[in-house]
Amino acid sequence: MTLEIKGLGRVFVQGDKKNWAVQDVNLSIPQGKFISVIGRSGSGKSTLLNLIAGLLEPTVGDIFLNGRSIHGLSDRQASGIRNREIGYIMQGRSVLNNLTVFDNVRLPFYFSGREGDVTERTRTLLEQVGLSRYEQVYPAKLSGGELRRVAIARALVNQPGVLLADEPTSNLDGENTEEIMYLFRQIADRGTTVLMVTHELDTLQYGDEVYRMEAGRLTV
Amino acid sequence: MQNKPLHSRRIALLNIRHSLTRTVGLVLLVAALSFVFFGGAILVGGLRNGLQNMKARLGADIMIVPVENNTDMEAILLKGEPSCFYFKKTLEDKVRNLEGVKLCTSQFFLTSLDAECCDTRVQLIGFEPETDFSVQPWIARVYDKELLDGAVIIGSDIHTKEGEKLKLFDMEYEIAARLDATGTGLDQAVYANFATIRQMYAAAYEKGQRFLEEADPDNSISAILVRAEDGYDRKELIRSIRKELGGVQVVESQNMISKTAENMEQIATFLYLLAGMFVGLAVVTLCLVFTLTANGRKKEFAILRSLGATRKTLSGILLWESVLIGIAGGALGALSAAIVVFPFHVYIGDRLGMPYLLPGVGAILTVLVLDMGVSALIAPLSACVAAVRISHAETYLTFEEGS
Repeated sequence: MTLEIKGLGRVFVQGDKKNWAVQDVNLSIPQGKFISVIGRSGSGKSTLLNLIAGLLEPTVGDIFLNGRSIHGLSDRQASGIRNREIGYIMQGRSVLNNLTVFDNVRLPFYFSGREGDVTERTRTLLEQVGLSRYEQVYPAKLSGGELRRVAIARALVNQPGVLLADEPTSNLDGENTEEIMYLFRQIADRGTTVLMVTHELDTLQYGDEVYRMEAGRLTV
Repeated sequence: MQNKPLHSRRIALLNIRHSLTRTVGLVLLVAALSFVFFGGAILVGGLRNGLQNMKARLGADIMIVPVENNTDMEAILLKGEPSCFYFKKTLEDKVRNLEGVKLCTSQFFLTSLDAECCDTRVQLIGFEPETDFSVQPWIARVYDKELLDGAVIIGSDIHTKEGEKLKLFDMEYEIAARLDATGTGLDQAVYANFATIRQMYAAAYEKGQRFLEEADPDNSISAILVRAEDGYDRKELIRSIRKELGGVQVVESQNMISKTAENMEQIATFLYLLAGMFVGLAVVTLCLVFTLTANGRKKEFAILRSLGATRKTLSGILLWESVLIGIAGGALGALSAAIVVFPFHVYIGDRLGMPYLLPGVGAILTVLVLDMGVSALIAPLSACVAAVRISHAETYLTFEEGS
């Protein structure tokens, strides 16, 4: 799936102050490419991902998935795209504590409104991220690295064309970081477009291209 | 287990199962509301039922009893306190001949000895089969033959020691039938015709029991029951009775019922107010708790949104949680109230000093359905504010706040 961003901007208004968290972002990512965006905290990286995921409405500009605009959609339509076409790994601990690892991974399938059984796919994904033995374990028993891998498996359960990852390796040790980046590389090699934002330089070597984000603007 | 679809209801169920402290607190709050609602409704229903039965069972508009013994018909009728008192039978004819009297009959009272036949002393009521209009219509419902000499009809609360026979003053009487419950003192009474009650009197006399000092039992009665002509002014009839007979107490059934009804309405009003207060308190508390907990769950909702849950789905999960909590609380409260109200309904009636008769199964089931409905609705109603807030919040921002 190709991801194209044209003149994207988002302003936050606080009193009389206008703050452009993202401004004039233009980006085109072909299918199967792994793009990294590096930038400091507050540079607008997470806002950019939330705009692409349809969690925030852009103030200006547009986003296209396979040439189709996702701007101005209803909540149901935007949620449908986020569910079926985009896999989103949020920043920090982003698993649901009341569900087992197995249920966490298969959950997005049930938001898609599709009928069927996702057991086999869930098991395959858990095997791919090395968590098969933790199927019935609750997140409270898992380490930080394992939790990230649960989130990755979950983001892939609906076989999305685009994978968005917000600081997927923050607070992880070198070994866990390496394992997760290797997973992302494999995902991209299998044809999924990956856009990762990070502030860790070590992770950049796994991507195909690197962009820098500063004060809401994206540069090469 | 793991293959069950993860729809809103199942996610809600898993959420409330794993947030045990929050769930228990909310369930107990709804249970308290349900306890008051269900228990109060059954209590009021029981009082209304008892009063209705009492009205129907009395049959007479006016009761005349001796005044000198400080006789208390209310105690006999409402509390089942056995008592006997007498005056001359000739008074009955005087009353019968008064203008405005449609029907007139007399009754003769005795009391059993302590623990002779039954668990406690009971009221023995003799009636005149030819003139009676108060007891026989009720007897006919359970016993459609003529009550023979030597046979008795017992109230629903009479528990005999010897099966189908009732032993009184060393003589045995055949139990012809048992009357339906009324929730009044009449449930602890034994009914017999005049011939049988005089047999009892004679047997008691043999045993040295003196109910009458010198008077002849054949010419004595305990109460005269009067039904007024339709449309005839009862106050006027009471005035005539008082004028014609001296030394009697005239009790108007309506007055006694009105007094009881007034007391009952006070209790009902109190219970309704209490239930209303609980509903108000529960709504406010639940609303606060749902809003506060929803604020603390922003990250959870943000994660769900990032996975493709619509705003409607988020609200649905929250509302399902509240419905399940409401149902659990409603059931727990109703069960607790049932444990208190059903086994102790006789004691409650006694303590209230009012006719109390449990409503029928249909009425109880209706109250239960209503109670469950209110409990299951009140929780989601309280969760609405939180659900609307969640469905309108900008997920990214809530996530940032949550994290």
